[in-house]
Amino acid sequence: MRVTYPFTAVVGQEQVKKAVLCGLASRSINAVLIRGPAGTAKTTLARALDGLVPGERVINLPLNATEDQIMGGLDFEAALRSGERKVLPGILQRADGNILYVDGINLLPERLVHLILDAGRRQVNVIEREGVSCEHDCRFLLLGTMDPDEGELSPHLMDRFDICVSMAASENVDERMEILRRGLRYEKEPTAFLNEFMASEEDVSSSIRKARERAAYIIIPPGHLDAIAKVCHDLGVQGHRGDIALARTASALAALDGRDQIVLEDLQAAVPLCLEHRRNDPAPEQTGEGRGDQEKGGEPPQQRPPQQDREDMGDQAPSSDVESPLPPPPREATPKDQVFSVGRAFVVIDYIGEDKRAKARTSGHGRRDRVITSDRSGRYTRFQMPQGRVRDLAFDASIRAAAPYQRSRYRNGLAVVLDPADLREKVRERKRGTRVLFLVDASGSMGAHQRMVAVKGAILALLQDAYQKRDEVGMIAFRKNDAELMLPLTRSVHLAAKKLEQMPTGGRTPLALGLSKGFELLTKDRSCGVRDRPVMVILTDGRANVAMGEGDPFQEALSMAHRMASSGIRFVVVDTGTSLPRLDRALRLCRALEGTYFRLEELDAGYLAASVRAVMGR
Amino acid sequence: MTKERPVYPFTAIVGQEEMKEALLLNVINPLIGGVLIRGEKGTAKSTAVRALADLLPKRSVVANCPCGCTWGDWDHACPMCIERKDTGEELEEALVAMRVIELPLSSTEDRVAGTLDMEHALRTGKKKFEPGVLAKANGNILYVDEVNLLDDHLVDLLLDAAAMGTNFVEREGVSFAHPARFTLVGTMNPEEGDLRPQLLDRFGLLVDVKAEQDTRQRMEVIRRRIAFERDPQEFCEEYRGEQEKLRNEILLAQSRMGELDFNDEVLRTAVEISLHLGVDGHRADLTLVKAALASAALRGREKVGREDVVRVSHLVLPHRMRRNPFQDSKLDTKELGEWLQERFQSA
Repeated sequence: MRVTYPFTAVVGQEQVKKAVLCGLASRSINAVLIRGPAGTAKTTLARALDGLVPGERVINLPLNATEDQIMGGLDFEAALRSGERKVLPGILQRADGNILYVDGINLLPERLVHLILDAGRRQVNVIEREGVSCEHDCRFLLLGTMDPDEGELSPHLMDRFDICVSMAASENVDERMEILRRGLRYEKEPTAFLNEFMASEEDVSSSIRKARERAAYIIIPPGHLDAIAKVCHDLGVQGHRGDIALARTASALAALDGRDQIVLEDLQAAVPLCLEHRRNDPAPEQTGEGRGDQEKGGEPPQQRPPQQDREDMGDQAPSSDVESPLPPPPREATPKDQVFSVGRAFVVIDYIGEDKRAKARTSGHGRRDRVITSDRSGRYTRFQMPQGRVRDLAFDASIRAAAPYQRSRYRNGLAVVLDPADLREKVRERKRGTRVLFLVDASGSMGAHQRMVAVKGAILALLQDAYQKRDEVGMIAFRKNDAELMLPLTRSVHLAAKKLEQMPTGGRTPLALGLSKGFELLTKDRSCGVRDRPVMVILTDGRANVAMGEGDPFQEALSMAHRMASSGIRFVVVDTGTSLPRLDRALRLCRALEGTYFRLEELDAGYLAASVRAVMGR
Repeated sequence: MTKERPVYPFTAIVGQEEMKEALLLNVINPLIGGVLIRGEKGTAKSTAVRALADLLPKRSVVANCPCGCTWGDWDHACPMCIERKDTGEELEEALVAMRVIELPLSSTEDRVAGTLDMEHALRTGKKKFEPGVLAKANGNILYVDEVNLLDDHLVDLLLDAAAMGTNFVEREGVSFAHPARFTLVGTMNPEEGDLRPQLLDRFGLLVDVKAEQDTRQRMEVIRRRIAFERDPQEFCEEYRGEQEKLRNEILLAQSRMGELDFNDEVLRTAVEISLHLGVDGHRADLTLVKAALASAALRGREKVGREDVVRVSHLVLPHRMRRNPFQDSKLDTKELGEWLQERFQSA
């Protein structure tokens, strides 16, 4: 007896249902991804597929799954009993002929997602581990769900999903009331509720089965193949996966509709299912100059801060149009402090790369947030041969290693005797934020041309990025004769944003002092168990004019930078200078630090794409 | 330390009415989905949660089941109970009080999710599942102090279990699934870090607590605390009558809630409020109605009305409002009430 919420009782969400049905109807569609915020019935929908087609289960792959549980490994019970090496089926084998469901697939270690997608595509799982070698069929529909707020899947993984749909809560009052009504009824009298939907469930199930018989024979008229190729090209889809997925999905839709041939409507319906996550086209309003491009192209899909200030955005645009050369140096005589509002936040590029000269990429979800831990915290993902003393015994793997030899060992009443050579160690992985310290130049020169508004906007964007990656953030502002710790390292990005809003600007630039204060903060606390390399993001135009000691303030900062370069801290210098010709002081500072250099506007993920487009458009 | 360490009585907590109400609503209807209590140190957060233990009603379980399977709910029973049943063992029903199960921050993954019973494996060469905290929490209250400091991968485990009502374990050579339906209660100090939005959404209710501002109240807090520390037994004895009274009220409210009927007006109010405030997802609607029901039952009402929904909205919605992560989410109940008034008058 099925006890899950019925598939047909899910109100609305037609697009998502269609996607799932396609996946069920076609054997050649093997990966479907559902994206959506929390509480939009993603899980309910996935679970509703359990037994929808009789005999087909939803096999759950929990986030705590280890690699050998997924792939399959040695069956130690059998090995102990008879010394025989037998494979203990893993989740992939159980998923054969079923639906494999991963809730929060974006939180699963990337290599595991790879393994699963690979097995699904090849429809066979090859096991070569722990002295066993075998392969088995695994034909399953992979159904992944994710909340984009928790971080994105990397684009190359995303591309391997045939279909990707977004799920959002309904905005319609009546629909929402119906959802509520059904939810409450299901909780109160599940059996009666299930009976009510029995007939409609049966209908869906039979249409899936009929579609399956048909799916293999669907005809794609040549003209439609043409159309597929064209639409993929027009939307800038890379590779051929999109084209193929589109053809398969259109076929599935035709089959579900009881036809033998694809019609135009099938293609139209399939495009949003297959290409939304693959499109790479310029947004339609892209025309001409860099300024407009940046504003529109860089528009974040997320919320914008309400404080955004239209008139300030011009300052953030690339200075391709020639403005007045150097802004007048700030007058020391009237050091009036100002508090600038926070400018537009945008989607940040991956500005902290693992390699020193990280290439600016538009999609930034590398591996900087995953750390292999050396203490016992973190998720046990796989095992390894120990190097030296075993600190974190992988008990299961050790037993499996020892099992086949038990018959020849003196057991002394024990069931299993472990030899030192059997011991295996756990490899634990932990999603861990980096420590990121923002060193902000809040001197008067930053106030010129409302530059601080853009800088604050950029910091806000960086904070949002940190929030998704669970970084610890801290902030130091240097101005006048002081470097003030605005925010000690904390995981409360919320607090950081508040401080940022209140941060005053004005006065002179004690760059060297700021550097030393930041350095001190990042080096004093190294107690955490994980060897991490903290990051210092320095936002400045480099115009130092207050020295700590005697001598030239900028030279002082440079020589300090030289000394800090080999400290293990990763440096990112963001040049906030705006006017042409640019002073290369920030760049020189960056070279001294051996860090990565960006101009402020380059941090904007939209900017790079937009400027490339602008060049190509001409 | 003896096992029966007296717990500070719930009814002896001074003030903090909102927090107490939120906790009681969850005791009356565990399906509300728990509560997150945010506030500075020393505001009786943990005291209140731990004090719940003494008030919790009894529930009917399968005797000697490590997962605390609910008696009679065989569709969701753990594999051990199923096996016992299949082998013809006569299962027994037991009536046990719900408990508050704590999840310490330092917990390791295997202790939370459960793992391979090593001793059993070494002794017999057979695999056996050793249940963890999530199994203990089934049917009970799962309490995480400083929940915002909980390691990410442990949060993932909690989220998984909360979403499914089942804990799936696939590790260390064991593959096991058991029911894990718990009421999640967390406390945190917001200055020490944010909570992931996904986890935030899992908490049915949210309360912000502050230290009492009134001097007389504060003095009373101190007085009671000192009295409790001096002689816990006697202190608890003093409050025995009030505790008993509250326990009865809870039972009464529970039975009343089953009979409370709600009409479309309640549903519509819930939906309209959610939409007006731009709340993500549907969990808010559902929680609004459930909390309104529990709240009406607690107040001894015979009908649930719009005002019940409005009353609980400040507990249900603040943490779900579409947020810029960098803004305070505050809910103005008064403004909301007026808006609704207008809205329904014009309709």
